[in-house]
Parts: sequence; structure tokens; C-alpha cells
Amino acid sequence: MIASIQTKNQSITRTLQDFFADLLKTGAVDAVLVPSRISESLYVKPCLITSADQMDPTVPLGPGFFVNAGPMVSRLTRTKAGATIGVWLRPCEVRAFVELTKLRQGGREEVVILSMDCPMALSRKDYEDWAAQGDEGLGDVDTWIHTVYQKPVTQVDAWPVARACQVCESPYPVNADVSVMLYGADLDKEIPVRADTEKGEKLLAALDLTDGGQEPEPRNALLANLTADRTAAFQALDEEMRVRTGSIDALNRFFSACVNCHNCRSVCPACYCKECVFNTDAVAYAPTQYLSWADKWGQVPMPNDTVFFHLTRLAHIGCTCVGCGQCTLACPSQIPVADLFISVTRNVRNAFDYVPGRDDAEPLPLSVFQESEFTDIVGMGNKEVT
Amino acid sequence: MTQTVMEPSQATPSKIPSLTGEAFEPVLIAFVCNWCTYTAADLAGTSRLSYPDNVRLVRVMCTGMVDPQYVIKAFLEGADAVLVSGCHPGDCHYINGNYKARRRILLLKQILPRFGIDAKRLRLTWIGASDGIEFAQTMTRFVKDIKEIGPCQARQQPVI
Repeated sequence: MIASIQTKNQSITRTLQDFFADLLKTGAVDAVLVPSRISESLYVKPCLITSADQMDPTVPLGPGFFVNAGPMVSRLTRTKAGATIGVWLRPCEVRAFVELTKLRQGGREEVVILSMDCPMALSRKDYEDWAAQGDEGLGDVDTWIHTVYQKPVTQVDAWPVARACQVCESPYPVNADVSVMLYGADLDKEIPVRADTEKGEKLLAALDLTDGGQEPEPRNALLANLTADRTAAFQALDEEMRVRTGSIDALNRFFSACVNCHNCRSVCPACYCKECVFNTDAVAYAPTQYLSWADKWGQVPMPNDTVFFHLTRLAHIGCTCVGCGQCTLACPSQIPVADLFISVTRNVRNAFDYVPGRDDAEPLPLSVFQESEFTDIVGMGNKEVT
Repeated sequence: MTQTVMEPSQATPSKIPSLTGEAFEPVLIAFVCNWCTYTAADLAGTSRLSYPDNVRLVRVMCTGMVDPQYVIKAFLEGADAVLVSGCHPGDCHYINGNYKARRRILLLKQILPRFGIDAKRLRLTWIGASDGIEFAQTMTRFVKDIKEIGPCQARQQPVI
């Protein structure tokens, strides 16, 4: 079912804020999770809101993306809460949450996932510059919205969107309960919303929204162009990464500014271990070990285990990286971590024919096996081994 | 059985073969499962079969417990090749650990070549407890293959 929400005062932000307020007022949900400004600063974070009069600071659509809310929804659904929560998520946040539910770190039972055609994100520096140009310490959100959904763009006015967004191949809702379709919509007039599940239909029905809308006519063509552009952009990124990290020496150089702060791990929505091995005594080496390493090569840079850390993370999230780009945003040394991870993982997961977030029923590749598969990688190459 | 313990001080920079022109003696790390391949190695030893002493065995309870990071660490510490070897399909002491290992090796074979570590340097084999001869042959063959490929880059320079 596709319904249509009338735009109020030509403001998409206001219209969506009222939509969330109505969800709370009608009791369709008990709480909503929406990005909101913190103490009138320019930074937004997902906020769990239960009061309909708290919508003013929320920024449902904008280029600020500093927390992937997937793990936040995981926290909210770790055990039963006895309440329904409407969660407003970017497509990569939905993907992250779906991957976490496969690890039983959260469940969909008590949430209604509302997702949207993605407004993309800016790097931290660009976001600060963008915000500085607007009124009240936040950039012109409605201009951003009107620009970003009209044609495929990698740049909105003067600001190039984050590299992770430039190569994202699915900036539209997959696996949500309600999808808000913004590409190609006449945003001054209406916002088309589609219920993708029974839960989504019930939610729209609670707001008296009926099957009167339709998908914006140019949307499919716009998405096709967008996907083609981004596939080409990904190929360029992939090529660049193969050159920049194609050897151990090159990899050393790529991560040479890394200070082992492990921020990329903290913000990664796909990093799932409850206790990371890099926080354990497994990497607390004896002093003599350092000396023997130095003896082996003539020197050992400290802190060590930098590349080891990143390659281990690559192996652990090789199939499930959702490409949200948070690792790059969080890196204090401006290492384009996401560029490398997106480039490598998008190839790795092909070997398992796996796409993160595509399907709840699709098991994690490393949690299952078949008796007769991948037999060609076994053996010394001199005979068939099954 | 021939098993040597790696002494870090044996491989001082001046002893890196490619720098000194000496014959290249690769270092192979083999993660072998307690129930099959380790037992096969034992059998090879008690049968007085010889195989190159380039191989350092690491006994694990099951190939299914070889986290990808063990393999990554071995390569970053300068191993020229890594072998993971366990029970034949259907013979796993823990029912299906070897099937899980196979997927992890596939994952690593996708990742490591991106960074210049040839996929041929990582092998997965099934060697049963009674296959002492096959164990010795496999080790000999692997060492020969790696000698042809040459030393891994991480052996010649520290990885940060």
C-alpha cells in the first residue's frame, strides 16, 4: 500500500516531525528513535523520544550522520521491552540492524522500521562548514533535501558527499516496514510512503493514511541512474584501493598515521564481538617479545599490531560491512578506513553470494556450511579432494 | 617427528636470505587438528618418515577453532605460508568444524591476495590420522611450492 502525506508549510522537516508526533499521539508507537540536535549544537544523534512535543530539535533528513543507529536499535531490542518503538533509519542503518538480529543481538518483534531514500552524509569538516552557513547553527536542511532528491548527485552545492555515500549502491529502503520515497517526489506537495509489511500497513492505518498515493513517477529511473553512477564510482574506488594497499609495504603506508585508538571499531555497526580480542591479554606481550621482534627485523614500530587489528576486523566483518562510512568519520588521523573496507568487503562477500541486510532469512555466511561446496580450495592443487 | 622451535634471534636482518643471497628456507606455519593431522604427523614421526624442518606445527583441537586472525598474525609475523589441516569431511571429532574452517579459508583467500599475499601461500588440507605418508608428502610438496614462490614481503620488513 502506498499513501501520501501532505507537505506542510513547504517544509519536509516539519511534515516529518508532525508525522512522528502523530505516531506517538495516536499510540501507534510508544516511542520513536529519530536523529535530533543535542543542546542546539550542529551535531545530531539518534534520540529515543516518547513525548510528541519534543520534535522541534529533531532533524529527520540531513547530511549529519555521526552515529550508525543500527546498534542503538539493537540495544533497544536486546530483551523484550513491552513497548513498540518506531525507528527512523537510513538504509545502511537498517542493514546494520538486520545483520545484528542474525547474531541475536536484537530483534524486530517490537520495532517498526521506518526508512527512507537516503539524504546522504557529509564528512565532519564539510558538515561543520555546511552548518556554519545556515541560520541557528544548522545548515539549510530543506535546501539540502530539495537538492539531493532531484537528480543523482555526488555533490550538494559546494559540498561533496562522503566517499562511502558516493559508492553506496543501495541508498533506498530494503527490508523496512515503511519506506518513505523521496527520489523524484514533488516535495512541496507531498511525501509518498509505502507500507512494505503488515506491521507497516497497521502503522499507516493508525494515522488514517489510506492507499491514495503512488510512487513518484521519475523515482525508478532516478534510482537506476544513481545505481549506475555509484557502481562506476565504486569501481574507481576499488581500483584506487588496490593500488594504495596492494602490498604489505603499501598497507603499512596506508595505515601509517593510525594511532591504534580503535575508534573505527567502536563506531562500527558490524563489529559484533561483545569483548574484542584486542582488549584482552592475548595482545599484552611480554617485554622480551618486543625485543625479539626488534631483533628479528632490526626495529619494531610501537604501538604494534596496527595492520593486524585492521586485517582482523576485515576478516571478521568481511561479509557484513554495511558501507556506512562511520569508521572514516571517526578516524582522528583522517585515514580513509571505509574506502578500504568497502572495497575489500564488497568483493569478499561475492564469494559467498551474500549481501548484508538483504534478507532476514539469509544466514551469516560464516555461521553455516554445506557438505559439498568450495571443494576447489581444498588440497595441494595436485588432486581433487572433497 | 621433526619439529623445530622458532628462535626469533635466528632470523636477524642479516640472515634474511633474499638480502644475503643464501638459499631461501621458507617458514611454514601449520595449524593441525589434534585428532587427525597432528596424529598423522605423529605417525609420520614414529614411522621414521622425514619431511622438511621448515614446517612449524601448531596443534589445535579442531580446524574449526582457527580464527582468521591466527592466520593473519602468522603472515604478518613473517611466515611464508600457512597450512590449516584437519580431518576429512565427515570425520570431524566435533562433527562439522572442518566445514566451518573451509569457509574461513575461502574468506581469507579473498582478503589476503588484496595485500600482496599470494593465495597459494594459504592451504587447507584434510589429512586423516592414519595418513602419515600423506602428511610427509604434503609438507614436502608445500615447502617445495613455497621455495618456488619465494619469501613473503612481511618477512623482510616489520608490519606496523
